[in-house]
Amino acid sequence: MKILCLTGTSHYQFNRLVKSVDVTLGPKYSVIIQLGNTNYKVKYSESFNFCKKNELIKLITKADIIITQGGYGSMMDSLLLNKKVIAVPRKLELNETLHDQTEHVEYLSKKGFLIGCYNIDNLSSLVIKLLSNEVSLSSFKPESELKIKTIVEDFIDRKIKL
Amino acid sequence: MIKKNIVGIASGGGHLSELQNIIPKSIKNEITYITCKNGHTKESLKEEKHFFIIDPHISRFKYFINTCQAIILFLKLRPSIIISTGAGIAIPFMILGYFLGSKIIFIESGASISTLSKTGEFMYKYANLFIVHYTHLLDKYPNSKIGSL
Repeated sequence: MKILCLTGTSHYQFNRLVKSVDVTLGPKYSVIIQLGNTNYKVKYSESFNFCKKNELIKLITKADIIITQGGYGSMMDSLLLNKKVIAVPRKLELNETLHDQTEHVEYLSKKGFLIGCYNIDNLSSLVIKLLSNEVSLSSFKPESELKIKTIVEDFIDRKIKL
Repeated sequence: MIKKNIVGIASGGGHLSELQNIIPKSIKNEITYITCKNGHTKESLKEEKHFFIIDPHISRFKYFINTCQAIILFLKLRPSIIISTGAGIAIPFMILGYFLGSKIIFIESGASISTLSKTGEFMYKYANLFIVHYTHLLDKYPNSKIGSL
């Protein structure tokens, strides 16, 4: 059972997530943590700060479960590879981000694409639920990209012809 | 075929992924990217034309440097179209473009569900094309286009 934990490229620390993953899941599973700018000293897991995008995609592909911050890039990369994702939003009031991630995580979680974890103490029980298939997730469909591409393309065509 | 000078500008990480994901195939060969420099962006832009600019985050001093770099890059690239998904890293470049005749396309992040990001809020009045993902944002910002299905 391989777990990959992602904190993205944020300027802020995410000790709350990294500590919980390391302490509660590190001793039980094979865990790799992408620390980003978090400086928590990991004890039970493998860890690194940043890596190249293609290496990250390889790591995501190999993992069974992704536990990620609620950032757009980290969540989309994982969902597009059809992974089981638990997302923990960075919170504004805990000084973990400039832009609170709760709303986007709630949105994706209501659609059934991933599991939102809003209380870090529930993290390991969510992992167990996911492993025992107690919760089922629907496969992710990137809803808006195509439409945006068309709008952008039309706009550029019109502006260039003028 | 008329030459299009298109610049795509976004900070590294999710904003850049989002920008790369929505760039139509037809302009893939004509776009120059501007982003901040880190191991991740160097790799994902390996095959694209790109330049780096300092990420100011919340530092005023770095915004000043970012603006100076933006002026140099703007004069070099002279874009007719600027596309951005945020964040603050792109503001000076887009404002320069606004005053010097570029068309500005701003795509709000898919992560912004009921409120715009700070950059989006700021850029709303300057963008020639402003795209949001969710209908309730469209109600609040009626000059936007909706990108969702």
